[in-house]
Amino acid sequence: MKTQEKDTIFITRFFDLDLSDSELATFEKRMSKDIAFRQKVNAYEEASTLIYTKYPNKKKLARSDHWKKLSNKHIGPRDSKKNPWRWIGGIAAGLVLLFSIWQLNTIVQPPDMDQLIADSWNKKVGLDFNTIRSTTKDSLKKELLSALTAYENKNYNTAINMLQGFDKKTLYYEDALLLKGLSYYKNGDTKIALQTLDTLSQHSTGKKTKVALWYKGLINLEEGNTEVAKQFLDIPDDNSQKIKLKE
Amino acid sequence: MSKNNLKEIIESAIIGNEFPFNRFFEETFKKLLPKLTFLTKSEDDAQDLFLISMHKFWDRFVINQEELPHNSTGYIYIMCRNAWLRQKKPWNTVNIDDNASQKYAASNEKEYNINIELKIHLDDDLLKHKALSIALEQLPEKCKRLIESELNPEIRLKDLQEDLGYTNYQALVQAKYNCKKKLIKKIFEIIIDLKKNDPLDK
Repeated sequence: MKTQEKDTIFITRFFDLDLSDSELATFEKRMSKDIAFRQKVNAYEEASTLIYTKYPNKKKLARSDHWKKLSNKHIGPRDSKKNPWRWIGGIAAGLVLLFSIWQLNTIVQPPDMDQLIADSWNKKVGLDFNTIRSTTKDSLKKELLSALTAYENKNYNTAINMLQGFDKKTLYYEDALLLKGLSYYKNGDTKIALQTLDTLSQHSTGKKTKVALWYKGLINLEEGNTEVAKQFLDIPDDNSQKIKLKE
Repeated sequence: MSKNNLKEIIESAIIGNEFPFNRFFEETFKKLLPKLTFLTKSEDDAQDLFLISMHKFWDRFVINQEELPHNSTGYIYIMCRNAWLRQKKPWNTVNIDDNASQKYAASNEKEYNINIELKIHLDDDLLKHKALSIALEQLPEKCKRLIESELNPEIRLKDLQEDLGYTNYQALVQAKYNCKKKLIKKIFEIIIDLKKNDPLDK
């Protein structure tokens, strides 16, 4: 292979962020010493900037905005010491982004699936155990409420352990099964969670069937099995509607 | 994250469900944030690098469906290191005895320098646009239509799918990505050629 071709591949891989540690060291060394190589890299950067500026990808801009929000949750308050040029650059970039989002809004508005799923979980369907069946706090109900507290505090293993003792004949068996299924899911055991919800959906009383199907759909949707999720849920095409259980 | 899990996440993203990918994005960011902050000395820069790298990750593995890395977190960290070098450009502090800097240094007259800089800037813009129009001419018709669809909000990629004979939407998105890469490579080669023949660069 000619040097020219090798250089082009090497430079393209650098712009694809694909160089290994040792290749990065070679790249840096060549940039410091080899003027012809540096000119090639600059030319590639010019070409790349020209194309991404002239033909901006609208979906990418929207994704960028969403990812920024997701990552913002994990970083502390902004650095107070800032180079003013970065602020100016940031404001300009923000305006471009706003304009692009405005343009995007006038074209297509796909649903924000993350938000829809989060809203659906927040409904806490079937988890209002304080109002269930009896107003007296018998020991089983107390146990169930303790398990719910553990679940809400994200102590999923504790919740699962607390719920193991519920016998099929007990009054709150279906509630316990639901909470156990959800705890398994939140704990990362998706398969067991779905099996538990399956058992619940087929329970003879049928009191919690719809709730079990709702969570089966939601879990499948969250796990990326959209087609399976659609067997249980109506998934909207835009943000103005909510996810609903298929009737 | 095992390769199989990542494969499932990518497959979901390909069919339009980005939720698992977003979860993967967040998990990986949490894992890499300390290392990236150590590398860049700033959480903001760490976040910027991560976003740049994840966009490239998306382009390469969701759109272009390249073979997945065995260790996704490790690979994304290396991508961030590539991006950091690209942003930091440490070589800019090293002087190379190049022709352009000699040309600037040759004259001490301020006004002359400004004129020369302006001319170089204008020539540079002209050269890039000349390179773009030559490169576009050399692209296959399908590629041209795919790239130009970005400029026209009236054109929907899904409508182009049947028109251009792609079997599915994903194939069309992948083709558009590769057309853009082809175009960049052509422009790059043309810029190099044109600069060789530019009297100011001699």
